[in-house]
Amino acid sequence: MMSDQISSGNSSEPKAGNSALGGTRDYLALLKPRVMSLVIFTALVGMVAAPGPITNWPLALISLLAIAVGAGASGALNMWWDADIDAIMSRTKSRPIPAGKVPRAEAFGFGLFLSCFAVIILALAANYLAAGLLAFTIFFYAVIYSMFLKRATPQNIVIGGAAGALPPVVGWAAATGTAPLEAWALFAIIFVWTPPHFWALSIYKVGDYEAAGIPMMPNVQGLVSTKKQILAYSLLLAPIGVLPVFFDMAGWGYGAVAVLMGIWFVWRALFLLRQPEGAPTDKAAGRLFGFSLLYLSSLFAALLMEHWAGLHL
Amino acid sequence: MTEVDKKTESAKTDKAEEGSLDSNRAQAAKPQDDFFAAGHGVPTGETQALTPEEEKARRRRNFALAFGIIAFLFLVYAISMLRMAEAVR
Repeated sequence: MMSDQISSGNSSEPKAGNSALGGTRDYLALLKPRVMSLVIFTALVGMVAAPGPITNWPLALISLLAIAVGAGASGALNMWWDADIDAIMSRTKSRPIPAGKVPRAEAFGFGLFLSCFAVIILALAANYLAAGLLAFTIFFYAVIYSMFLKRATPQNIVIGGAAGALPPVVGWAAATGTAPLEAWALFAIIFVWTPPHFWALSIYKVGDYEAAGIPMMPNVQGLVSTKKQILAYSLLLAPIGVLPVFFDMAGWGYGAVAVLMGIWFVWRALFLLRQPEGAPTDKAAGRLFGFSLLYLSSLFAALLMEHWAGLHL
Repeated sequence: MTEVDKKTESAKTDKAEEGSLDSNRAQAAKPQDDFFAAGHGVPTGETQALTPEEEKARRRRNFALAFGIIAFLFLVYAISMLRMAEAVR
């Protein structure tokens, strides 16, 4: 179970870094490139799914670049704040700050500079609504999630998931200057997808989270409760995944993908629930984690293809 | 209180103040969080020479910073041009 000692801040310092040794790769790693690629993809889908054609592609691409840089900046700020726990966890201990390649202060400056850069560029290239939403996303991830939620509650990724779910809304706002209910349907898909995705990861990395004192669901409420909650969120996600069809921004091609992948997601969650503790559970959780990435990519790719095929105006 | 007593008392107070100052200095010099420690820097007069590898790394980083600033300027210029072209159309 969850250890009593939850780290209250950056008390244990990671290895002191030499400020001169950080190379370009280390600074790029601070931006969490894999998360960035998902953000670029979902923001692009938000842009393309928005009503009306994109009339100015160069400006749209610059907006996309700004959204990507904003996502990277929030990643750098997250690494700045979480350097102490990153040094403990096997998944994160090779990150540039705990590895001693980039000093914390520089990661902070880098993240702050890029945040301002991204928001200003998006305001100029798109509009103030998109820029405001991007600024809020960065603030929510770096401050609300990283500084307050992550070490305080097992609901950390449930609430914090809002930051990861905002990029399609930012993309939509960048393309149209508005953020209607349809855009929030895309938000809802990622928002409800986040808990089963991260809890699956935290099941087979439970030792890491326990050692770092992060109150993830498996080490606070136990494995069985986590598996049940994963199933509950999967059951909620399956119908939410079909929402774009009812908002007239997706056709039945997308609908078929969403239904099939939704059923598959629920089946995987059920399979995980039935596994005994230990290696079978870890294996099933690993597979669910991998599948959750495929689920989100498939849905958004289907939406993108339908719009590029000219099936929707 | 005799004159001697007064002097002893005064010396004690001085020592206490000195001790408090030392403690403040120690507090200021105490290595704290990397980020916030900058505000408590106590000059020591020591300097540290960079190794050739570190100097190269610093030069690379300076170029990267310059690139970042130039990219920002270029983007602002490009956005302005694109927006003006859009308005003309």
